[in-house]
Amino acid sequence: MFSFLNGKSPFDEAEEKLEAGETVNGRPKLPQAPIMGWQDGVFLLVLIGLIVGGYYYYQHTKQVSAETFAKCDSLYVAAETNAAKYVEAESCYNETWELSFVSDSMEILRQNRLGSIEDLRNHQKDLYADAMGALAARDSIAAYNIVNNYKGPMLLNRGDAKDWNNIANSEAIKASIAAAAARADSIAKAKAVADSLAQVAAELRAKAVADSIEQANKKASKRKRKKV
Amino acid sequence: MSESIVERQEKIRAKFASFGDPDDKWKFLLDLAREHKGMDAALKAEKFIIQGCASTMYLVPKFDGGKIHFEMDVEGGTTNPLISRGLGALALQIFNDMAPADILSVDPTFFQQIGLNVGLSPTRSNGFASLLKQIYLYARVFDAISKK
Repeated sequence: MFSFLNGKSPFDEAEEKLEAGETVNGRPKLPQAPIMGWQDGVFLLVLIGLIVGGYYYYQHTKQVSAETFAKCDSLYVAAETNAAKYVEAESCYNETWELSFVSDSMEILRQNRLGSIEDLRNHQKDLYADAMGALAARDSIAAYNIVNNYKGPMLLNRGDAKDWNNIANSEAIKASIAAAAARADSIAKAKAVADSLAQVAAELRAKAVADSIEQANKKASKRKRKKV
Repeated sequence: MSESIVERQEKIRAKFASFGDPDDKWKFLLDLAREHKGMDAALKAEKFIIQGCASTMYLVPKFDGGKIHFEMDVEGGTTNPLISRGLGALALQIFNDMAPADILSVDPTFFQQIGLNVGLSPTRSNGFASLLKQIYLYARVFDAISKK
C-alpha cells in the first residue's frame, strides 16, 4: 500500500538508505512498505482495462447500431417512392435483431416500420386470395386484373409469389383478355352501326310525321279557302 | 382491497391522457412488453393461439375463485414482437384476475376511446381486436359456468 505517513515517498526513503549505505546481502535495502503488491497492480490494470475496453466497446456498438439503423432508414424512405425497396428495408431491419445496442427510439422505429411492411404484405396476401378465388371461379380475367392493378412491392413468400407472377404474366389470360377486348370492340362497333341506323330510322320517322302533318295542314287550308 | 375494473380503466385512461409526445405511447407499450413475464412453454398449445394475430399470441385462461387469470405470451419467429406483447400486457392490466361479469362490463370501445388505435398498424389493430374478442368469449363461457 502507499505509505506517505512520514512525509516522504518510499522511493525517496530507499534512495536515502542507499546513499547512507544500508544494504542487505550486499544489495541496497528495499523500502519496507511498497506502493502496492504486484497482485494489486495487475488487478488494477485489469480493472482499468475492463472499464476502458467496456467504454470503447459500448461506443462501438452504439456506432454500429446507429449506422445500421441509418441504412435501414434510408432504404425505408427510398421505398416510399420505389416499392421494391420495402423488401430490402425489411431485411435490413430484420438484421438489427442481432445488434447489441438498440435505443428505445430505434426500437419504436423498427417495430412500427416492420409493422407497416407487414400491413403491406397482408394487403397483398388478401389480393392474392382474391385472385386465387377468381381463378377457382374460372374468372381468369378478374384474377389477372387484380394482380396487375396492384402497384405495391412483392412481399409474398416464394410459392405464392410464383403463383402471382404466373397470373400476372400468363399468355393464355392475356390472349383471352385480347379476345374479350376484340369481342367488346366488335360489339361496340355493331352497336354503333345499330345506333346510327336507329338514328336514321328515327329521323325518317320524324320526317314522315312532319310531312304528314304538313300535308294535313295544307289540305285543311285548301278546305278553308274553298269554304270562303 | 383489490382494484376494481373501473379503477383500472381510469388508471390506464389517465396514463394515456398524460402522453405528450406520440412516442410516449410506444415507449409505454415497450416497457409493458419488457416487464411482462412470458409463460411456461408447456402451456403453449395450439388451442390457445389467438386467431387473427400476425404474431403467434397465446392466451391461456384459468378460472379460479370466481376470477379469470390469464397467461399471455407472443412469439414472432426471428423478430421480437414487442408492440404486440405490450398490447397483450395492456389488455391484461385491465382484465386479469377479474370476475367474468366485470370483464363483460367493460365497454369494448374503451381502448379506442383512450387513443390506443391511433397510429397502430391495421395488422396490430386487428390482432388486438381478436385478443379482446377472445377475452370476452372466455368471460362469457366462465360466466355461464359460474351461474350453473
